[in-house]
Amino acid sequence: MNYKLLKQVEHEPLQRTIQRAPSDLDDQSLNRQLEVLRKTPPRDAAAAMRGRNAFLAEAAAIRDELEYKRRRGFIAWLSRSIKQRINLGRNKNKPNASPGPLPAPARLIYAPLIPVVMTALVSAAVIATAQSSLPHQPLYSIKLWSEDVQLLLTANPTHRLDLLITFANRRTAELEALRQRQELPSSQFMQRFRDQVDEALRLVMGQANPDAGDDGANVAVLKQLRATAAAPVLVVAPTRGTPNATATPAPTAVSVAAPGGTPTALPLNSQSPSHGTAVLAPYRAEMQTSDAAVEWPTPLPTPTRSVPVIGGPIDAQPTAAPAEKTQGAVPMADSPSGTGISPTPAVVDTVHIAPVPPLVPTPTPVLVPPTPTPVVIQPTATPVLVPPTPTPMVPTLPPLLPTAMNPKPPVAPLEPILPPVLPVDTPAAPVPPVVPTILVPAPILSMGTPEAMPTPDGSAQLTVSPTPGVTSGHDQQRGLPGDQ
Amino acid sequence: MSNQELQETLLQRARAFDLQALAEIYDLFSPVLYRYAVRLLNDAEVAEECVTETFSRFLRALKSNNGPRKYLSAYLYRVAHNWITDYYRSAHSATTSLEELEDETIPDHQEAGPLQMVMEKLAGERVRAAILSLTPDQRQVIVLKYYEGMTNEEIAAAVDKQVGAVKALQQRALAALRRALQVKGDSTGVMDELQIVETG
Repeated sequence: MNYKLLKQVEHEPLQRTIQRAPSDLDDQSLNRQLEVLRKTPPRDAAAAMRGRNAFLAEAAAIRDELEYKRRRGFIAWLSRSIKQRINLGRNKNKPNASPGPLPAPARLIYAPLIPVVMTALVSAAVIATAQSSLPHQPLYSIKLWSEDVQLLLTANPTHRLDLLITFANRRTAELEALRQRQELPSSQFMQRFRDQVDEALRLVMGQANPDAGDDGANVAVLKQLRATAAAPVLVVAPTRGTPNATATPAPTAVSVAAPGGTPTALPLNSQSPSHGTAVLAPYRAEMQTSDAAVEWPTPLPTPTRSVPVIGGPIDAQPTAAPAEKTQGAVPMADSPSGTGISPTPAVVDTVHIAPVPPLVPTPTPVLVPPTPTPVVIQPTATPVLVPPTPTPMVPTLPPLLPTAMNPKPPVAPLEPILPPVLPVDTPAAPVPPVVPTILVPAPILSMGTPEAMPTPDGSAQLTVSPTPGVTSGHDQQRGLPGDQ
Repeated sequence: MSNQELQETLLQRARAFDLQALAEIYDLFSPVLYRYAVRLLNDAEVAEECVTETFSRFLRALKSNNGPRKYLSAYLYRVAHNWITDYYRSAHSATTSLEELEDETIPDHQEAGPLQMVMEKLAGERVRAAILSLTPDQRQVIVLKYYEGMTNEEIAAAVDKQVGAVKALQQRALAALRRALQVKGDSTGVMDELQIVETG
């Protein structure tokens, strides 16, 4: 009850009271009107209890859900994020959908790992890409670095040997790739190749078991790899102007000087990628600076079956083989015929030519240049022939020169014979003079397998013995120096 | 422990989904929210639904690490107000039939006659419409002041505002209600007031 208002309005007119305190009167009226809503119906106890139970049940469910997500941690958060992002694209009615905050423990654990994992992934991708790189390419150093790390982390001698052989095979494959691209490897490349093979050899020798045949095979393989690493490599230059001229006979093994002073006969691939001028390029690291390649006159088949000899006389022998093209296996290095080295046990085409005209002692082409020292190879007393082993690890040198065993190129009826004389290790060696041309009637003679022979003056020479069965007695009596 | 400290303590435990704390919150605020809803909705079942949905939204806010940080009652009033506003916008029809009026079970009105019931129903709808026309802050202040009997200091603590701001809100709310209810210049209202004064 507003007694103040009552006392005020008791002795004054109504209009004055209204003008004096309109707000008070309004508030009184407003209060009376608002009182309409003051009374509320009593709440249903059952409905209130149902609402309470529903509220607590929902709270318990949310608590369990949060506990489950907390256990699952980061993975659950990530999957939830992906799902909600997908749903965002589909459902426009939930623009505020959020995966929620990353669980606090997961934030502490996983947040620092994210850059580490990203760096590791990128590094792995780069290293994997680098495995197919070649020398002179940007990623090749990463490839070598990864190999070094692998070797560093490998302490077991057996596993280390496996790695070294694997790496040496890689170098061989890279050499092949470089040869196909007509590029020369660097001195560091060759030095690394030699070092890896040397270490593998040391490991093999350290584990050598005379009773174990595998070790012997490994030693043979490694020796051949070592020879490859240390050997000059013949590079076939592309033919200019005289494609498919002749079937160019070529030695199937090259006698080279090993770093230790031991000439080593290297088998050559019997398949020739091109025909024409054969170029002998110094491929040893020490000879890398010289790009000058010695051009060879194209050797041609002769009726005397003389074959070009690098740095030595030709071991010419007549043949009586029938004129037919047959296929025969190339004799192995340790075959009874003693024909020297065969590069691979694969079947190689051998061309047998029909009746050869009476073999008149033809003037043997002068193959040795008239130089005071026509020695091509480093003189050693014991040339070493490393027989190839038919194992997957045997490196195959690129097809360097067209061989006579490859009958692919058509044989011209008459071709001039030029003496293929090659000074290998003497950069200043004069170009061999062109010998008077000899016209040879087609067909050509079959070629034998070359082998290294020591010359009286101690220099290693490469000779090619005739086809098995027609080997000279001199060849049959001689053993393989490389086996010793 | 003051009311504000009690609310903060309950909120802290509720964020960890302590079921006991959540039960206490429900027991403490659901009756107030029910009265608030039933005044504005004039329907007991809908008011109960409003209370249920208000507490459900509160739980979802806690789950997403949102929700109130300090003033729990103000938060709950605001959620309930939003629900009521949405309810009136979407589903509720402004028209009320006589059958609906007869079905309403308000005990105080059961003894009244039909005309009185209709008059009170119309008066209640008019006041509700006036209150719903206020801003959320104004409505909250009016409800807490006139229906819950809170002082200005208690309202200021509940809505997280200064006492002066609460007074300003109250004055603006009353002015809006006067305009909505056409109190100013209404001779009938003045005469009623005079009659109250004289009889008092």
